[in-house]
Amino acid sequence: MSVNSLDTFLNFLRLLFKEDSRETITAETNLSTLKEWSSLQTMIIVNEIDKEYNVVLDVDDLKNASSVRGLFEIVQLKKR
Amino acid sequence: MAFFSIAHVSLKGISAAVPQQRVSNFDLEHSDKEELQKLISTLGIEERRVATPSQCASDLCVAAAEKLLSALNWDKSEIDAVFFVTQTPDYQLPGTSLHIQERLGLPKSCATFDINQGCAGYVYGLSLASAFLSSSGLKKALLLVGDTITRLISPFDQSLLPLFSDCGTASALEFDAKADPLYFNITSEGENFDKIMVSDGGARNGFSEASLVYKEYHPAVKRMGIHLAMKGLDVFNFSLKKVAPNVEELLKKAKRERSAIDYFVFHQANQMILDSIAKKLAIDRAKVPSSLKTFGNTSSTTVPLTIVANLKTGNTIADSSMLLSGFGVGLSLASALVNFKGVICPDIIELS
Repeated sequence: MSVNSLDTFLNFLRLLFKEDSRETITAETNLSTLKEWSSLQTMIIVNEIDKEYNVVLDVDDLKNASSVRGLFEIVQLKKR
Repeated sequence: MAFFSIAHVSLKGISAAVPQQRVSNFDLEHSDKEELQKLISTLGIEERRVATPSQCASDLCVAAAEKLLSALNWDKSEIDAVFFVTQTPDYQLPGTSLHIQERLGLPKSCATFDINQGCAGYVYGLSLASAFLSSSGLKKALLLVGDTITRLISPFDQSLLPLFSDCGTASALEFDAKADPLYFNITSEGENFDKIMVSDGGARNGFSEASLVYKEYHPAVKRMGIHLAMKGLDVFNFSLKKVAPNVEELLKKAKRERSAIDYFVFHQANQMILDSIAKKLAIDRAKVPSSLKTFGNTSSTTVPLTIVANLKTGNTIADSSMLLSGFGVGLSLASALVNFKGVICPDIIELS
């Protein structure tokens, strides 16, 4: 699976959440609606995306991404 | 980008004082203990030092300075200038450095300066004090950097409570014709002035009844206008994006190889940021000391405190080439290259 695929991104994100909530996360999930969503969790995600994809997301990126798919598209766009 | 070098100034000594009162992050109120554990391990902060209501940053700095002057055997009458860097001064006015001059028993011929700077404050202060000595013909200066930032944190702000801690430091600088040059790279992002701020109590938003009204920003964050507010993700973003390029630029302009630096002492914002910056710069983690576990984020003093807490051998700091970098409130970012040679360092003081 390519690093640039949505599936890889989805699996990568799932691992950043608690085991019991991983299953519920799909490409259409809005992360900010998850119980685990917090400022700490946001920073962890931004940091991990930076390490994995070399993209530093900002506050607006996270606000604008209404789903995991949307976030993936922003990461792809910023990578260019 | 303000890159510059300063000649003929040596760092002769460095010391730190912390409040005796320890507060454990494990004792923080939190609805979810698992989440608290995750927070502590991500921040890397287990314990913090919190000043008592009567302890000021100036008290910690005066204690650190007294011990340092004694260890250096410096005659107080020879001190030509005091620079005090803080965001928690004793009074609105006069500047705290004046009272420090009197409390330390320094001569009336001593010049005093107050500098309002935070996380980048040590490097900022070092650049000013060094430039002053280098160009004035004066011989000796004290750089005192301290904050009791916990005073500004709302007791109902769970996002900031686990981070901050208090400390005061003293550094002794001397004109020295044989000193290695100091190199600096300083940048300012004033458009982000509101990312870390205390909005009330200054001339813009004077202290009023409204300053004492708690507002809820999040179920875990309630604060008043006199409390510190931080847009955490914006500051995190700034740290991830701007620090590594600033450091690389400094090394390049100073014509210094990364491998020639023994220690990279960064502002101790939190462990996740420290690790990320080290990774971006491809630095061996052993070269990036952390004092976060037991001292937390002490704002302006993280750089000197980490040097004192981690790099002291015997009564001195190990001779080494260091890159120091502070970043935060302002937003501002300041890095420096400093060679440590025989820098005297007394033990950390615990002030009751």
